[in-house]
Amino acid sequence: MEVPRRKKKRLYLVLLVIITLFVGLQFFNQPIIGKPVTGTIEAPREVTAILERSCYSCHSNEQQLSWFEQVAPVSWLVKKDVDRAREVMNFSEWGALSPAEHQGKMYAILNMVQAGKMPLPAYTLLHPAAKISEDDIAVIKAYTLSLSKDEANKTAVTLVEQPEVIPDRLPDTLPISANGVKYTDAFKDWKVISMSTLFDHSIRVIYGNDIAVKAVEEEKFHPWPDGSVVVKAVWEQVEGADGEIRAGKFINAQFMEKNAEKYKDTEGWGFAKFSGQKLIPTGKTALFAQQSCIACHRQLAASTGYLFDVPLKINRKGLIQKNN
Amino acid sequence: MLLGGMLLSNCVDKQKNDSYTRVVFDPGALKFFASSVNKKQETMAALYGNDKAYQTLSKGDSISAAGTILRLVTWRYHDNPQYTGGTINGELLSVESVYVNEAGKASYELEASALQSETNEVADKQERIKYIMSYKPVF
Ligand code: HEC
Ligand code: HEC
Repeated sequence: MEVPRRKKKRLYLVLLVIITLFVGLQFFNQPIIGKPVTGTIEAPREVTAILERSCYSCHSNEQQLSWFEQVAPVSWLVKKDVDRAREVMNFSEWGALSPAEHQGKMYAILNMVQAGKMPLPAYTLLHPAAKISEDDIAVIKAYTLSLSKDEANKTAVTLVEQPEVIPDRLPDTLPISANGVKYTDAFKDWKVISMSTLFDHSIRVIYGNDIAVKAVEEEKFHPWPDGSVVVKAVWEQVEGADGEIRAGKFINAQFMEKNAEKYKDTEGWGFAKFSGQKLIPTGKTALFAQQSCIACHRQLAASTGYLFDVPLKINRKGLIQKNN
Repeated sequence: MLLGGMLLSNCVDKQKNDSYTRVVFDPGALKFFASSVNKKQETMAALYGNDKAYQTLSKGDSISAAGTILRLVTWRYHDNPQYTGGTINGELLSVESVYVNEAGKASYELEASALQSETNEVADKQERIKYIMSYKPVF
């Protein structure tokens, strides 16, 4: 059967329009901004090889993009990912990090790849070579844990008599984080939902208000009820003569406050960090929470609704019976 | 007694997952004072107390305020299953209390224990009182 000429002509016309549009799109194709490499990550070669292969396309200033990633509209999506990825972690701007920050980032990397959250699954679909194997994870893990051992040997044991007290604040001098989370002393009277330590030699206590405690007990994590507030207070560890660890210098108090409407940009959780005796809030603009909190806490979105330190589900019901 | 007795019940079927729960310790009217980590025993502890206890601990003198109540809650800790590089408290192990009477004399009570479930006897009560009184409040 023959296609009538008029129909054929229309087909060409449509094709022409599509091609013109496609070419036109390229004029709106903003390239990923080239940035200088100011200091690459320093780690054993077998570690950096993995990062270069699987992570550099997004987390560095040395993108090697395939042609189809440089063509709009795919390039738009790629640019969005790269901009975002470089914002949270950039292997080409590593020089500014202290050894402690380097260690912290390595733990973040280890946990991300262990959880299978990085590289982004959509990316490995198109770049199968970037997939992370069990062996890769083992290499990253061995290196990351070795950093802790180096550090453990370095840190001197400080002996302090008193833990550093978190100052009480007058109601009209309460610091407020750029995203609107307000500091409160009230957590000092809340229940302790858990206690933790981290590789950085800190000792932590996690408090929850009544709404949060109820949510934990009833496992209302999806979503946590509005009004839930969880506060984590962080101190340096000090070791007593018997080797027991207690709180020393106060480092910071970190807040997570649930309000689905108010904190839409960070998936309903308002993050805040208040540091030192002056309780100085982290972040000049509200963007800090997107740049330095949510990406890591999102790993837990499906399991506990964004929280790392909910009490483990390992105590039996009716463990403590009050028989008043 | 203020709180009545507390028991650790051992009779729940271990196999059934729904018999396990996420426990938040309820200190009643007491306030959180301080915490500790014991790496040798792999335990973490939280100390709670009343206002009198706060006076006793923060002053640190040898005379304890009458009416002092202190409660030390000890947990086993684990590597945090949600984050390599962290630890978190796990099984509740014991609840110990110190009461100071009108005469200023401190007494010790093991309210609940998974460690010493056979006999509720503690080897040296005076040692435990001294230890519990050695904490300083973080607030
Ligand atoms: C396709 C781009 C892409 C690739 C490839 C990629 N990432 Fe990411 N990564 C991102 C984006 C985008 C974010 C921010 C995610 C968010 O906002 O939730 C991110 C966030 C992270 C974070 C969280 C940073 C923080 O806030 O603590 C870590 C860690 C991370 N990536 C590690 C890796 C590692 C390790 C690799 C390689 C194995 C990798 N990423 C590969 C795009 C990428
Ligand atoms: C690299 C990953 C990572 C980043 C980035 C991060 N956190 Fe966390 N956060 C954790 C881990 C791991 C824990 C649990 C360990 C602990 O006790 O600190 C935690 C615990 C918390 C808790 C206690 C509640 C909970 O989740 O269990 C608060 C509150 C908190 N973080 C606030 C913040 C704030 C505010 C920021 C940004 C300034 C932030 N976090 C950035 C990993 C991260």
